[in-house]
Amino acid sequence: MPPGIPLINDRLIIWVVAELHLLFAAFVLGAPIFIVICEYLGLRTKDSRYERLAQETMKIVAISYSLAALFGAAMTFVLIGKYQALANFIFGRFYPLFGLYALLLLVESILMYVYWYTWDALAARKRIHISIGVALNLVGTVVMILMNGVGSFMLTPPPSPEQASVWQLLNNATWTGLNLHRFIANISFGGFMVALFAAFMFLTSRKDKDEDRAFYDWMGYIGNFIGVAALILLPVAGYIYAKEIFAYNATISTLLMADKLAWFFVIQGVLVVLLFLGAIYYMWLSIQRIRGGVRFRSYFRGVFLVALVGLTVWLVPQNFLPSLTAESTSPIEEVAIPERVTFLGMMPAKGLAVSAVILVTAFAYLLYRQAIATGTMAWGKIDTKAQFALIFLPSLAVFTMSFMGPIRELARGQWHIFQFMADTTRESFVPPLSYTAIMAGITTLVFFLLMSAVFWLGFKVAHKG
Amino acid sequence: MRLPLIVVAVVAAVWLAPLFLSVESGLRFGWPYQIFFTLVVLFGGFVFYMLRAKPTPPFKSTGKAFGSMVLVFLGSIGVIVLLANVAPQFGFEETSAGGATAEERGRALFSNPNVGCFLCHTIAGSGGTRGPDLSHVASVAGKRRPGVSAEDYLKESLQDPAAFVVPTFDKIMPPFAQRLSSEELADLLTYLLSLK
Repeated sequence: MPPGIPLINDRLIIWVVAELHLLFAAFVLGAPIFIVICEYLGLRTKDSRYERLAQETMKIVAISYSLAALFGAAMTFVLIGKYQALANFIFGRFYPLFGLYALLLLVESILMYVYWYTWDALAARKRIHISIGVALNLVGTVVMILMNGVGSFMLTPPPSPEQASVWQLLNNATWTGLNLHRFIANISFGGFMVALFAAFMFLTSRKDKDEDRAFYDWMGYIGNFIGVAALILLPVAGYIYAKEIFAYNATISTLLMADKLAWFFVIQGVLVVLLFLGAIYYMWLSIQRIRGGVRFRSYFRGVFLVALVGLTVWLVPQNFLPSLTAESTSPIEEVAIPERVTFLGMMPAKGLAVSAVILVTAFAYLLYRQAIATGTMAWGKIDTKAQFALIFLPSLAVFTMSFMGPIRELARGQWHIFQFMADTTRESFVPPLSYTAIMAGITTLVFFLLMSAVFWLGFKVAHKG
Repeated sequence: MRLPLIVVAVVAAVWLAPLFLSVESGLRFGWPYQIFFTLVVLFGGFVFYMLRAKPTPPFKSTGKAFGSMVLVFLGSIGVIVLLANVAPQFGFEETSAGGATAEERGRALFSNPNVGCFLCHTIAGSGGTRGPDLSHVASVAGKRRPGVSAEDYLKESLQDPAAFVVPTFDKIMPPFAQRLSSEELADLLTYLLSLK
């Protein structure tokens, strides 16, 4: 912490509160998308597990919804109290948009509670209930898109933000990219949170409850599948978003990819590769409870090998300097990539590496599907380590979100609104990587504590009662 | 038994290879890269070890199950935070508006699409390839023409790029004397001279 700035300050408070709001918001927006799909699948296939998965997940969403609103309100209070100039400008210029946002939030809340509380009452009229769920998702998506417009505006405002129309402010250079990226990320996040819940319930269920263990094993499988399926699309959405930033102003991209924040992206690369490896490892363990599936295991060694080579190429840095202008204490040939292999540090090599990781993950899933199709699945008989994989994956997913949020904010440098409204507060500094990672770790820890309380209160304590 | 041997052999190769390679070969990785590759190999060994590990039985008590979940969570996040702490760090830097240094202003100019330097030149892997790589231009510029300092060489290259063109590259760079103010040229020069 720079001298003269207290340990707990306005910037840290808004940082943690905003992140927690985003994490809960991502869950309550992402999870209902596949809750409705599961409910529909339950209706169509007559498989009661889909119905139970949808209902139990919706119970968590209903409790988490209050927490998302609570942290949203706290964020607004901190903005108004401590960042008045910014709050005045944002709320003033986007006034009609915030009016619409408040209205839609009200509609979304009503739909959410109606959807949850009519679950049993509309059991005989499933199509009506599913329609309410679809409406909830549509409104929720519009709410997210509206707020993405405000967030993306701060990084890529149009020319003359004081004169621009609300539509011009909203339809800024990176609105589409951020919408696409968040929409897919929310689904992935929701899937991993369901997998986390399933692992929590599986590990804490009583040994004599075989039926419960079989169900939560299956639920973890579905949650992981949704998380990974969306995760596979995420690097493409991230690339589109980054390209929009580059087209808007190349100095931001230089700061992100080649300067101070470059090492942040190396750590982000580690996180994403670990997510893919964790997902493959879960499939590897899952295949072992399939009678007749052993013959597919031999392929997985190749899958892991390609993923590890991909990881290496993706992560190998151009240099070991903390910023573009940093002076090295070691000779430059020690800390920079050798001349004849510089291509390993370039985008084409990184792109190929991440494509290889994505392809082998998809291949592993196909193997897994093939094993399920030709063998007999013994639900509930899975290795306990698979449940650890289902805790590992959401831990990293939440940390990745908590870590990427600050990167997007830090990309603005000394600006609240890029090249329009300067951040003149005394806490305006670019925090080092270590500091940012610790902050992301604290946010993740708080989020997990709150989610554990939600799981415990919603399912363990309630069931005992 | 084969797995530990493979890991030891690959780690040994990572550390012994530079002894047989000169810097001029363009293939010799420095010590930070050796540590990086060693970590990757150890991690790979751990992954393949986990593929052989025996199945873990279910927990007998809820307390143990919960405790193990907490350990997995803290372990996963702890390792990432640890990695972020040993990666290269810059110090806290105040960024209040108006406090930009000449070097920072020069970097902004380099990356400004209206000036367009990055379209043809690469710095630290980012940029075009029609012109020479400028990642370490401050170290290279003084050796381009005998008797001409790095500063004079770069100044001339910005004002009259046709005066000397690096072999293997085309004479395509426009002169920047009229396109940038003298202050901007000075900022750009300061930035280029910082790229050692």
